[in-house]
Amino acid sequence: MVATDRDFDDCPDIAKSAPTLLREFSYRLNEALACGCDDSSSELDVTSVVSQIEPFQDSPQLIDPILEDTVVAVCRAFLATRRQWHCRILYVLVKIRGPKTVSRFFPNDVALLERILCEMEESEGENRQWESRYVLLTWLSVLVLTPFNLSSTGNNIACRIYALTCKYICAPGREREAAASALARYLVRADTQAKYLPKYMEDSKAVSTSNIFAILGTTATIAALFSLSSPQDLEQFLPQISVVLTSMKRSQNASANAHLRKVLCKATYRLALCSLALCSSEVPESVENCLGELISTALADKDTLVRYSASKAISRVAQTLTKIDHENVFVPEIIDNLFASCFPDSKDAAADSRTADRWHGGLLALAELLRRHVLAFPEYAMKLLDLTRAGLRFEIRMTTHAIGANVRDAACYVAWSLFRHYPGLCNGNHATTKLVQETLSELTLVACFDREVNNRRAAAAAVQECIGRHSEVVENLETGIVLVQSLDYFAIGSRAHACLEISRRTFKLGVPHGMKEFLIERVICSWDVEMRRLAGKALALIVSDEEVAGEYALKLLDMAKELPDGKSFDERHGYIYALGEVLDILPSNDPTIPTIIQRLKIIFDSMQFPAHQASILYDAALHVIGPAASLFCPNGHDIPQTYMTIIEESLSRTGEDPSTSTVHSSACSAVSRLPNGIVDAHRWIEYAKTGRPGFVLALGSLRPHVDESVIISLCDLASASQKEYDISIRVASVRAFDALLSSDGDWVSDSPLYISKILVALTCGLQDYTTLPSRGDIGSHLRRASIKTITAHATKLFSSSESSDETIILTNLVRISLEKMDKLRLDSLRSLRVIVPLLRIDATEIQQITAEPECKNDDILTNAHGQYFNHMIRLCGSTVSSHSRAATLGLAACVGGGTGESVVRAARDAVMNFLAATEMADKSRRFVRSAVELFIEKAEPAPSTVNRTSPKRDFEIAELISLFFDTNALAEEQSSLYVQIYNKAARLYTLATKTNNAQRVGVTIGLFSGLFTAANASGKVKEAAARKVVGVLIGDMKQARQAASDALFLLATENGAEQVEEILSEIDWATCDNKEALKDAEKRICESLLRTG
Amino acid sequence: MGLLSTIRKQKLKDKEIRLLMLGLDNAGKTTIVKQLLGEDVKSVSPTLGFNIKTVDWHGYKLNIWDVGGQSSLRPFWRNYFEKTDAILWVVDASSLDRLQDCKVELDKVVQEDRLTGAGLLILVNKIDVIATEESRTAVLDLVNDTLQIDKITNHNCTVLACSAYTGENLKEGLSWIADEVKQRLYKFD
Repeated sequence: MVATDRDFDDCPDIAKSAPTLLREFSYRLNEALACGCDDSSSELDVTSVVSQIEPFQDSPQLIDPILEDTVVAVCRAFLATRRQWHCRILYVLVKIRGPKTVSRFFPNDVALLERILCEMEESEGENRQWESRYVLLTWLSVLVLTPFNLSSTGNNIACRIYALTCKYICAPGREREAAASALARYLVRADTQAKYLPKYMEDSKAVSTSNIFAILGTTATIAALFSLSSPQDLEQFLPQISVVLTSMKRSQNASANAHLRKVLCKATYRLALCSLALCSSEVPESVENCLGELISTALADKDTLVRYSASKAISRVAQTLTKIDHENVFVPEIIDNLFASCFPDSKDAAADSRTADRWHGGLLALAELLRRHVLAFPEYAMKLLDLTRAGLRFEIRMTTHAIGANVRDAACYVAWSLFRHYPGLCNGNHATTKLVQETLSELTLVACFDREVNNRRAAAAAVQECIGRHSEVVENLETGIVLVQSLDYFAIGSRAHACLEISRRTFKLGVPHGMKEFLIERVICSWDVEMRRLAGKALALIVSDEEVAGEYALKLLDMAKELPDGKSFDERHGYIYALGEVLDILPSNDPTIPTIIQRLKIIFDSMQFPAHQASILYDAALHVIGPAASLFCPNGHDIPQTYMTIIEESLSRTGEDPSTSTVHSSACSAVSRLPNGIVDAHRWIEYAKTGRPGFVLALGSLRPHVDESVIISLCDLASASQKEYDISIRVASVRAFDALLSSDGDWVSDSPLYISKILVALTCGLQDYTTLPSRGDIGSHLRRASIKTITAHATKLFSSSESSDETIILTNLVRISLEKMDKLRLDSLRSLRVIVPLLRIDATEIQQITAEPECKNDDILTNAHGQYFNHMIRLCGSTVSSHSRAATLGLAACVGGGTGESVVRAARDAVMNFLAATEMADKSRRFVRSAVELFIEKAEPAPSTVNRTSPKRDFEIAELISLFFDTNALAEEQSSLYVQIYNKAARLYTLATKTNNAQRVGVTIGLFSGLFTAANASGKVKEAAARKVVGVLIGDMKQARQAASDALFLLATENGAEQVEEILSEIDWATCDNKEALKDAEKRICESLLRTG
Repeated sequence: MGLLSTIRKQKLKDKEIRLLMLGLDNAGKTTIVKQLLGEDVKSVSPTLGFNIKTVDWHGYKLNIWDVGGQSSLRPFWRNYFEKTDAILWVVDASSLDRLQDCKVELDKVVQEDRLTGAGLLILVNKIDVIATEESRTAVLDLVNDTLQIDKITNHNCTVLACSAYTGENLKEGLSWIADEVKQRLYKFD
């Protein structure tokens, strides 16, 4: 497997595109500012301005070069014109870079204080968005820092600020946060503190019974107060704050709202820090309680956000404690408490999600403590390393999945911090060094085999820190560097690559110990079936390198045997699947083979396939049967009956779910490895004919022993009708061809006849448009499968093909390449690119058009329908008339494919562009001619004899013809042609009226209106056409009546028939139920039309 | 918000800078680190593995990744927790005949997308063996010309002469790196 950088790089660096994005942002913003756009202006596209800056969310520093100028310019513009979109821009900047940094650039002229205050007060009545209020309150939080005495400014400002901010700290939107920050800054001002701080404290007492937003705002304000004021200023309020916080914690709101619990965590630890700052030597009891509560409750919170916050809180308090805890009593106590609470020893307690939360919180706290050097005691090294290793293996199995991936992530973070912050970790201590080595081994296993990419990468980063800072743990330096190079960030991005390639490389280095056991005990039993399969393959690679495959095959057999009956299906699947992988690489002379055969028999004889687990168990069993059959029974003797039973049971399964198709393909792969003559092909053909797709597929895997009857049966099945066989049988036959043709057997070159038969069958597949009311266009599955098989085996299929076969395949693909279904269109285009160079018949034009860059650009192909059709429509003007007709037929299916869809619009636009392009005049004439000939049935669409219901096709082409009339592409034909068009249109009209299909009647009205306008159409044709349209006016189909009246109105306007216009306007044709009125109007219109000719 | 974004924010608060030390073998990379850490510089053997050392520098933590001259470099561009903030490229002033090789290697680094934006300091080491001021200037000119420093556009870049042995100009180099990173990442601190 070759892995390139790009495959794994899911994280393109914003640093590279930053200059361009910032330039574009400034440019667009300045444009908008310069034109003075108001909020509803159509020129203003705030979203496009903002979209340039939003990619910086994860790397906010990169916007710093333009930050100051931008903020100043937008603020000025806002002060001048008060637009909401100014605030929107400012909000996005604050969201990316944070309020602290951005707000420092808000203009802070003292006069602005009242101005912004007024803006906010007045915003009540206006329809301001919360973003605006957020920005204005953030601005206010800067302005309240003004060094002037607020009472000197008059207008009762001090009181108004208090009232305003108090109001918005209860707001439901994010403006609450900005208000809390403004209020806190206001409360600690020298001139307002004495009066307003006690008042606020008094007010906040009642909040805990209030609504959630008021509680959130108050808690945020209290948290902010602690960081703004000195402990002395707050000392008198501490008991009060403590009471308020406690009552909030106990409220119902706290248990329901994670965000509140997080803010409470923050306020609580700041309260503790404040108490610590005020105490002389004794650690206050309140601090002990606070820590106890953080550790036992917040750190084990069910919400990640709260655990993050709690871990930070604990480490901040502990760090402060180390400064006064001279005796070194208190901090070790905290840490012991943490260990006991988060990582309890008892193994008997049932592990559940609470256990995972506790572990996660505990590890986060340890990492934080490490970062702050609170855990700098060597006596913790062992304990930390033990916990890290346990954390790296953490997983709790649930019924269908497992939890604990976040615990492993946190364990990697602890390892990384530990290696990083303690350069002297090993310090020549043999025991510690050994533990570090074991940790390195575990980290390597995580980096190779963890299911989650973030864990693999986090573990790899920790390995780097370990090798880079503690090189003594690897035996030689070369090993270390190779390990680091193997566990490359980009390379381990792919799960398969990490599991199969990188694990093998690190295994050879000898770094991870017990990799085989880890695979068997953990990964092979994973809850995720994909991981189990990868682990099986990985184990096979390793035991093969080590030449111990036989030993491990026996081991896996034993483990599978020991599993309790009727349980542990994941494990059973894992062991048996892995056994298949190991047997696959087992040398054919391995001495363990007889024992393996014996034990396999025991396992298989007693194997059961309970319904809900059957598909995975069959998958595993079949995975063993393939290699077992070829390894143990080279001559076809002694294939146990159980094997055949399992294969046939698997193939008998039906259903459209992916698990059935997985079982079928596993069975086919087993079948392909069976010795010659084991399968009774005739019996399987009979099974296939009873409508079991599994057997159809398997017939294709009987290679290289196929006989004629198999191929003929498959061809019959592939070209059967829906009445005979369901589509799934036809699709399976085509896929069986795929398998047949993939085989290296020499039957292909021996039998050009077979190839020809298969080609014919595949052609039927390309023309299958079976549509069922309940299932839609099910034929598309077969068309797609046929295209796939043709493309994959083009060389074999066209090595000696007849030119008539080639033509049919080619025209079918050309048609599909312009049809409505996106995937089929692209598949057939790609197929054309492959097969055209192989054909004997001339297809130069197709080759040119499909080889151009537009056809190779996946982005255009999948996303830009317009460009695609503009390019491919040239096929409709091909000089080879069959190609032109095929393409036209395909395009008609798009043009006439209903309204509103982007593909339909794109196809119609392409037709109009094509007809209008003067340099394509020749081509577009050929296109028009093809369409008309198809329409009037002068030419069969042959040789692409499409077997689809012809009315549908007729109406599709009719829409195309009507589009030609609209664009004057049919304005100057010979009179006789219009007669033919009329005749066909009239037939379609009758059909549409009979089936009461208003939409189709509408299509014919388009044709009739076109005929009125054609200069060379005879008077007779025009009159007949007009009569048909007028006739619609009195019909039952209201929708069609409207279309007819519209068409007549247009005709009347063009011919100056004012009277007709008047009559038409008298009646609402789409709703009128008055038959008499309708008839009367119709009569008058006829008379009037006849008069004006 | 996941663990990763928390850690990234924290790293910024902690003012940590990840500095990748590169250059041909025997350019003196490890000696530079040793001198900066005040360790003995008289005996240094070729770096086979790689070493990470942390130097406190005016409130910043410079994590210096000293990667052996022969290593494949891609694994060092970034990891899960951090990416490269600055590159220190060491040139050996006493073996100018290898400047062309040096340019080839440097180009690979300079053109690496994932390093775009990182500050680039080029240290011309072992300048102490060149006696006169005049010849020192000539060496620097030659380095500038051969490495085509003026054509490097996606990195802030500067060239300094230094001596790992005597310690000359090393602190100036670190200052330049810290200032450059500060300009980009800590502009408003």
